[in-house]
Amino acid sequence: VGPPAPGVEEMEIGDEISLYNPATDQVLVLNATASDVWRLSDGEHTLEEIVSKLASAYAVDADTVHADVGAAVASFREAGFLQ
Amino acid sequence: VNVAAASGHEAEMSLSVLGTTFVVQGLTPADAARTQTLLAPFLTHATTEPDVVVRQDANEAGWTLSGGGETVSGGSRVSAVPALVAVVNRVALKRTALLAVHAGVVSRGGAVLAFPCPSGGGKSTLTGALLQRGAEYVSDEALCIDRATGDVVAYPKPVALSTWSASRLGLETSTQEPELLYPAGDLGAAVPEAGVPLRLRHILRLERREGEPRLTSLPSSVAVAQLLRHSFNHFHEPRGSFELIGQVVRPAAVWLLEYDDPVEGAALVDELLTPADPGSSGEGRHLVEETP
Repeated sequence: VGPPAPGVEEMEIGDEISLYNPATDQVLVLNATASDVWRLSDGEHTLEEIVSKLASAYAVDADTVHADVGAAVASFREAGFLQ
Repeated sequence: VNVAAASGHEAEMSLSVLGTTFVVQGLTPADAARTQTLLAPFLTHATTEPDVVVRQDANEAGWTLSGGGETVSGGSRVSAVPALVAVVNRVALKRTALLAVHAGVVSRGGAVLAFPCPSGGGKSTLTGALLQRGAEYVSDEALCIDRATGDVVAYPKPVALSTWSASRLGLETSTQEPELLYPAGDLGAAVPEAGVPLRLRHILRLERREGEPRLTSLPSSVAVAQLLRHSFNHFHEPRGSFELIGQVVRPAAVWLLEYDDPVEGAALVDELLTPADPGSSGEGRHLVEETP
């Protein structure tokens, strides 16, 4: 998944990330979970690997986080924040 | 010398607004006097090479204002000065090097509270209600931020209120204009103390809802999108603006204000800027602090 689209700016405030794409003037404010998904959307991890890592980090089963991770990645792509 | 008689029936005026110098020409003596009152914080010494010349010309149909890339006409004399104030406002915001965000802004002792929202979102009425409670006036139009320091720069244009808003605040509403202009002093506004840096400390998101006013804390990150969305000019320097917004949002508290009546809303919001009496039990304060 990823990497981020060229030019995308990110800012961390607390444990939440805000993304800004100057090319489209779009801004996306991520909650803490979506921020974790973004950090792993670096072009080095598959969707399944991200699901596995977060399931382990949150101490839940993979099925529980799969839908949320998929939705977050879809929203990143739809808004043009991922290549 | 701010206002000079340019001819027997015309006056000329020099202004400095958010870094842009203006010369306004062709004003009738009555319009010059009204403009001088409304734009008093911006009057400056006469300049021979202003950035912008705005000229008012009387004609058979009424008046025409031109300058700064704008031409505005009207028929009623009473609308000439509000139109001039509006042109100066638009041109100054278009030209300013400051990051400017559409917002109502007040302060106390250097701590700034801003509520970014679009026109018609209630910011001027809430600003006016806060001024009547003794808050210092920063602007009812724009949160202006110095890109080098992150400090807020006051932009004390006249407060623009609808007839309903002015009535709710107990102000005189004698003219027929749909939007009324008041020098901030007419609302009892204090002026930020000279030499004290203005720092953004509270950001409000406004939502109108019937019932008692309510304040709820929000994650600071939501203000990043809010400030960008309501910015006049971030697109001139998008990356720098995004970074600057992050810089000023980090130390600020962000709140959702749900309210119906602006006077009641202002009473609640003012508690954010007014330290509680240490001897008080806190009774009567209505802050609701929740982190979703």
